[in-house]
Amino acid sequence: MQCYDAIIIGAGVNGLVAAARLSRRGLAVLVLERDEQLGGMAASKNLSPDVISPGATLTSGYIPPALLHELDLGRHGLRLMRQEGGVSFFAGEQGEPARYVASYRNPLAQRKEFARLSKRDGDAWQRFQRDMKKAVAAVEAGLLHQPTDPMARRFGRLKEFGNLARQAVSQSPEHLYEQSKLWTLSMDDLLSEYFVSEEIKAHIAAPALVGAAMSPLAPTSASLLVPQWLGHQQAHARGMPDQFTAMGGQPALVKALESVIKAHQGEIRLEAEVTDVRLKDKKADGVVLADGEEISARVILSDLDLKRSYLNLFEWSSLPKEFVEDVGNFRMEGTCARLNLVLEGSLTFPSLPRGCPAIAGGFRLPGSLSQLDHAFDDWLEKMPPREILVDASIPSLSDPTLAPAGQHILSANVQYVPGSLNVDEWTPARRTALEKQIVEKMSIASPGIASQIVASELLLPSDLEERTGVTKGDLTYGQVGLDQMFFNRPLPNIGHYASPVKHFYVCSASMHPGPMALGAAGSNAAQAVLHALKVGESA
Amino acid sequence: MSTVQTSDVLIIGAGHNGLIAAAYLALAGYSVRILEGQERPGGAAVTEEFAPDYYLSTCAHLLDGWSRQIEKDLKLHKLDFEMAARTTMTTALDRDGRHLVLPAQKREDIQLLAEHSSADAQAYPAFRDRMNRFAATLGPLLTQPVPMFGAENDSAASRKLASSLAWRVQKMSNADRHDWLRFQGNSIANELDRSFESDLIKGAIAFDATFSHAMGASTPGSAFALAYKGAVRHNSKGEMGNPAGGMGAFTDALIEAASQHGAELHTNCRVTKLLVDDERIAGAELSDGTRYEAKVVLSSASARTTYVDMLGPTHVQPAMQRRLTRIRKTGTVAKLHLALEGLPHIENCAEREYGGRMIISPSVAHVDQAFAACKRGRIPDEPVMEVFLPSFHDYRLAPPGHHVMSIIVPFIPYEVEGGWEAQEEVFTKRIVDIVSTYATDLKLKIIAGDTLTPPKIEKQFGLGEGGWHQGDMSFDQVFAFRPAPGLAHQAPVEGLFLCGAAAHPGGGMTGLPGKLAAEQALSFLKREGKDV
Repeated sequence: MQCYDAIIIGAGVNGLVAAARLSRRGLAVLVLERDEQLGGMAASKNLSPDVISPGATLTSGYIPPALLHELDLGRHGLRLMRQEGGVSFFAGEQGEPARYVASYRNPLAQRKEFARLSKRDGDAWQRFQRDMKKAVAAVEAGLLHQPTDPMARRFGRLKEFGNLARQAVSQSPEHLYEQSKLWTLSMDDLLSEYFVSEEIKAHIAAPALVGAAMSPLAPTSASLLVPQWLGHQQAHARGMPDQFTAMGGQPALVKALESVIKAHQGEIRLEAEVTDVRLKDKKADGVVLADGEEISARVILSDLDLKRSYLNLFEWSSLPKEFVEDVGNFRMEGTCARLNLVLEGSLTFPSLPRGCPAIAGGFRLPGSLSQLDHAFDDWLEKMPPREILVDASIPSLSDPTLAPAGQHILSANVQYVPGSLNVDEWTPARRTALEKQIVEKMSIASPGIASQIVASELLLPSDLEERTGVTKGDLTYGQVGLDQMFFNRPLPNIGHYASPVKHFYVCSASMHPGPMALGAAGSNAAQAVLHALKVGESA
Repeated sequence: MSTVQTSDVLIIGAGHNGLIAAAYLALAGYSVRILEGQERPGGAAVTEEFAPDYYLSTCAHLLDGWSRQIEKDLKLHKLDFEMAARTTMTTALDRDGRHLVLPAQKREDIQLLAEHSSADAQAYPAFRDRMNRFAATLGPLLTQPVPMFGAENDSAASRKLASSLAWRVQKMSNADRHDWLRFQGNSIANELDRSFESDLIKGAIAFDATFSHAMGASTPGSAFALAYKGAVRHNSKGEMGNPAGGMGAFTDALIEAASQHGAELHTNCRVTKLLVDDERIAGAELSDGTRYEAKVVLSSASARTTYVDMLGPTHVQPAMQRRLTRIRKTGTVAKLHLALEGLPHIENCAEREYGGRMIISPSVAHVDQAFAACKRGRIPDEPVMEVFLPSFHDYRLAPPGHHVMSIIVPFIPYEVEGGWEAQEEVFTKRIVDIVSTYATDLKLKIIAGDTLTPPKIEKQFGLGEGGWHQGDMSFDQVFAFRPAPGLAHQAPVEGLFLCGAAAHPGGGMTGLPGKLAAEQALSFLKREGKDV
């Protein structure tokens, strides 16, 4: 019987990255995907006969440049394009046209745009940008590594810890504050240190909030701003634009990864659902499929979320009891619904200046930060949302092949939508009402949108769970509070990419660095596997 | 320009912290003058006759976290100061009469918990012990000045403090340390969900964690707030004193301790301006123009009032001013005082529990809902609250057989929808109704009552917007970041110190900010003395 070097369960972006990295090192790799196509959350589905919906991932996907380079994705057909920042719209008062804030790549244009709303904020933008780039540099360096555990007890660790504490003490409070504010302040507090315009604050906050189970007024929520600022330093070093995205969206990325795997004799099997991980002497040595087939491998990687990886693929009794409890306590909760629309004709944004390039980055309807806080409180109570944050992208604007001529596809993440309701449930009437609410909100930006809809699809967190298999439809694969990030992700006391089961690794975004960077968790897991199998650099 | 008076030390504000600072400095032989803006000293620690013959501590009603060291240093026991009860127990009231005693230490307390959930009864001791271990790690940081930051200021004392913290952290077990790291950034709601299933115990602990803070149970950082409170209580060995004669008696003892050693107390002296001479503090000026000169000034006003309003813009950079104005305030609190014809009857309430604080907070959701309502200027539908009957242990407060009830209600907005004039009655009725569901005969026993809305508390006690702690004790506002980053060790001018809740280790009845400020002022005075 054939024995693979590595089996990867689940063909999401992280699973495929792990498979690609391992196969490039000459390992015999098999990817098993339960669905009929690759991509997991990034998989596209037919929305109307000619139109495919662009999958369910969060729109902002930062791919570490080092990863693109290492996997040579350019040669496998991946094209990158500059990412535009998008536009936020705010309802005008009584018949007034909508107000907007746009993001431009050009620094002068951006400064002028903010100065249009508040002169002071135009100047503050400069300062904010500089501070964020500096603060994020340290995080960025750690994305493609396992985070160091500050509490690990090792020989000589006491002295080390003492030095660390003394080092912290020897810094000036100003410096310490600058370093810590990103992790302690609320988004509102942090942004208010720079900006006065409520609209500019909401414009910067909105994309960072999507997917997060946190209010912008909650302490520590400033840390959610980090992903937006990743990539700047490296990009400059490599002469690339600040933020770029895969042309054709994540399906294109998936295709390129597939090509890498196949080019290195990696195997991919679709419609192959793994139900169990086979154990031998408490070590993983293969998988069992739904039809009873067994496949052996030296290591198993799981691209499922932490809960499914351990609670579904193993007998609980074969895992340490405390570990099962900790995995059970791993917080996963859906916050986001998704509305995909096929639109006839081109979308118009009357309040926006003609030919504004920023709209290619999508549009948002954030409301104010305190409205978002209200929305979060409703979510906490599991109420149908009264206020919503809509973050819409129009992928067919930059990639016309996605929709037939004369049509556009629009897909929007809608925050905060609870997966289940406190009273009653998501009845068809409630779903229709929510859809109507979202479209109405979008008509602030594009008043005619309701009459342009040809086909639509609303996915609630429970639908996302059913479709992609991620627990509770949590697009972040585990909530991104400080208690579940960095050295605390997924759990503070397990050795990160290692696991209590030998030869079994989780490679999904439940691991560090989570949803902060696309593919990074898969890459890190592959690194851990290579290390464990002692595959040298030259192999 | 009128008279000029001189002394070594000026203290602004005769709250408990100001008085404690005054007493320490007077004890050390310096001439001390205390200037209180209100007619009555005591700040938030006063006893008032709210109805003929019924007395209550108007603002704070318990000495929670009170430092025994200060009591010894100032020899308060020689000044007729006594506690009616030293250890006040906490009971979480249950609608169905299955009340819980917290922190459950005895076997019968755990047994009560088992009636709600046997799993919780099993989980509780581990949770309690873990919290105690966290408290023991954090606690010593609160009784000492914050380590001096910056290489040039690096002192032997702060190095020692840093290494002792490192040592305590290393001493924790592996599991504890990992847990601690996760715990600090989390919300108390999440942490409680990990350990317990019964709503009542979760609600009661969440109440304690968020009490008088501007945060809900699901707000990240509320777990830290509980750890901080635990550390405060650890230092007082869990004592929650109920001073005989109410909090006013406590204030009287502190005044006596200060004046015994020559400190002078002046009331109705509102300081409007601090005098500065060549980047050094020179004294203070009152609203009527009277000037007091002094070598050092300790202010128990908030950082913003002291630095922005009194010191003025010439000494504080604009960036620092902005930072001071953005200090996140504490949650607002309202109070209700009731005079009762007799002890109200609470079903299944043991006698010992009547003398303790009783928490009404049926679930975590109640805390979150109250916080959400308060943020939006509404009185919560079902406010959470702390009910206390100080007269149970203290006959001085009410006529024989009668009682007084003091109810503290957090999450009550400062500015309420519809205005307080109209809403005060709604509020009072709602609170009485809720307490009546537990104490069924309450309404029959009420003789008189008095409602203190947040604006009233602000007006009477001069607390900014009804918040009690001059800035939340959340992790971005404690230790080196209290009152604001860059101001923890050094005021904008030499010789000026904050000695109130705005200073480390923050609000509450610990008395520690006053003591630590006095120590700092003492070493400053000694240094100065040598130079001359």
